[in-house]
Amino acid sequence: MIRIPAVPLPEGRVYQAPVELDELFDGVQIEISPRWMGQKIRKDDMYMEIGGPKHGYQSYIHVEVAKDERAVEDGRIELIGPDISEVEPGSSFPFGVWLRCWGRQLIEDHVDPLIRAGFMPFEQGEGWMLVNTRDTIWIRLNKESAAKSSWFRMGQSLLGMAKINFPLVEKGEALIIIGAPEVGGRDLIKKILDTTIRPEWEAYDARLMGLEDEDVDVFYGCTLCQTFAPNHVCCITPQRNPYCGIMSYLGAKATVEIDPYGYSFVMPKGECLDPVMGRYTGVDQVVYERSSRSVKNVNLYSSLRYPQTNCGCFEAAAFYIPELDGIGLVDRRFAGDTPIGTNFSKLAGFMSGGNQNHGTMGLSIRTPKSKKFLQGDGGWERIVWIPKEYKILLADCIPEEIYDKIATEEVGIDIPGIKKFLIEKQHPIVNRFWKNGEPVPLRIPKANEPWPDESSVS
Amino acid sequence: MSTDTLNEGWHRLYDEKPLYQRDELLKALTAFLEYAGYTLVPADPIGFMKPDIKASRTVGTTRYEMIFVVREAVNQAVEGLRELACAKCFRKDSLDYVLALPPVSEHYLIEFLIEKEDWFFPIKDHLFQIWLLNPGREKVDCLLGWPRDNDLGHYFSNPQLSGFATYIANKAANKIMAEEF
Repeated sequence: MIRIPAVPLPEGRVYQAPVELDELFDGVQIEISPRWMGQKIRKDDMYMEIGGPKHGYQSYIHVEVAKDERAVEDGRIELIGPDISEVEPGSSFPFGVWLRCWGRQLIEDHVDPLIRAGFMPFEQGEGWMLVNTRDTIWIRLNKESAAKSSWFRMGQSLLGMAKINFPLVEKGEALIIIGAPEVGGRDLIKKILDTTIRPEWEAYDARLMGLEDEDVDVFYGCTLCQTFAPNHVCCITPQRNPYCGIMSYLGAKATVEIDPYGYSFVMPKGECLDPVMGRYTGVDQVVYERSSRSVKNVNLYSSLRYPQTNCGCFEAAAFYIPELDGIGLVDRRFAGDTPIGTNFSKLAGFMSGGNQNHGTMGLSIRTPKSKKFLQGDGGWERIVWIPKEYKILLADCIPEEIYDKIATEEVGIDIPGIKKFLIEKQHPIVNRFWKNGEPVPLRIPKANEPWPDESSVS
Repeated sequence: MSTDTLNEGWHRLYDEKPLYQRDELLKALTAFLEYAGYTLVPADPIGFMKPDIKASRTVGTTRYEMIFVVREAVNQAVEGLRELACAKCFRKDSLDYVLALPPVSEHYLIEFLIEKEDWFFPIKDHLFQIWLLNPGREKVDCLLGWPRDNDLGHYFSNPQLSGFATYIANKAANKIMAEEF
């Protein structure tokens, strides 16, 4: 029975879901299939809403891995609050879903992909809409499917999807709280979030942020995007998230453990040839094999020399500005032109597709938070231009002494104007990279070609 | 002047070069469907349109029928979807409706679906599917939607790719909010 030590809960209704594998979905009347992923349920079609902006996103889906088999009553589903058929059409509540899973080989590291299992019936359920995850979750059920749905059946689907998608899960139970006023409303959910859920999220994030590339024996790779970019191979290390931002190092590790023949795979580090650029023999070998032998070398921490290939779902990009011998950053939301005369859209169109474009690199929103961010290019001392809003978003990771020295669109996008600004502000690039106060542009090779000073890095 | 030739307007044009010709795509799709146990049936006109390929499979008492419109690039996708919409006027939910494309730029596709245009919502509202075909690697994947014949999923090279819809849906959150708040 799931109970939360810090928060007394009102009594709920208890249901028992089937636990035999071939009966897991017996009685579930809605279809659960990728066919229904990404549905949009408009206000007028909505029967009920849980989570979302109306409640300040005070809601959660939480997965706990139990250490003791006896802590899990397999198939038990407890509902605190009203069932779907008991609320007025158009109702909206904060909510909480807590899944407790146990399996002989299930460990804490598996929580990341398991949470995805927790989203699946909402994500793939006929008539359900899921937007966002974790602390911005927002779910709707449409009128047509409401008659075929109940929280018991949703709980059954949650446990069923966890078991069939993650065979390491042997037992599971669920606690569903619909935060109606009679059970404590938003206050109840907020208390659970503040005392129990958020600290766990923070601890997981801290663990992830505390890991360094040197701490692990292997990296991971991902080729999910090869359908679009046939030669693209993404490298996932503790200090280097994939561009799409949907996976972490620990998430990739768990994904490979659960599905060793899937699109994620182990990337042995091999020998470290250059710790500053981030060159590893194992990474080079795997990338070469998985890129149809088209990419021979990858520097994990450089956008200039042998950067990783780009798919197309990167959230931001780093790009070389030859006239300044510096690097600019731009995110997807910035619609204006950059100092190289293109907007994000055009730049991304050029970068994407799986080629190794020296001088450009895709980024996830979290990438610049890494201590090794572009360290092979000079790190933050080489970055000279970022759109204002993106710069504010990155304020925590930009060294304080450099923050005001990085130009934005407010300084302009014309090269002489930015150059003057950098000199006036004494940006570190002026002394560290420029020669006699003047930038010396690199001669960047064409896509997939070696640098002129090394016909092939071996 | 029509804005349709610019990167503005109701339907943008993307700077893309098709990776494969239509004939190659048709051949690859045909081979895939036959391999997956489907029978190609005459692609007779449906209302105002004529599918490029029509295929069916019967399992017990259930008959799965799919029609395909094959196009070479993101720039032709809206026109392909329009064809599927024409067919759906007549055949309603009795068919699976698929737009098949070669491996297109993921970035342009994101712009097409949600960032610069909003074709994601009508595609989902009508349960249309988008498949990506790679004749060079003999791979077929379902990017958006999913066939009613769930067994077909075993033949895709990467069934996980269907999760792309969630990636796009999350990007759509701001647009949904802007509509309602």
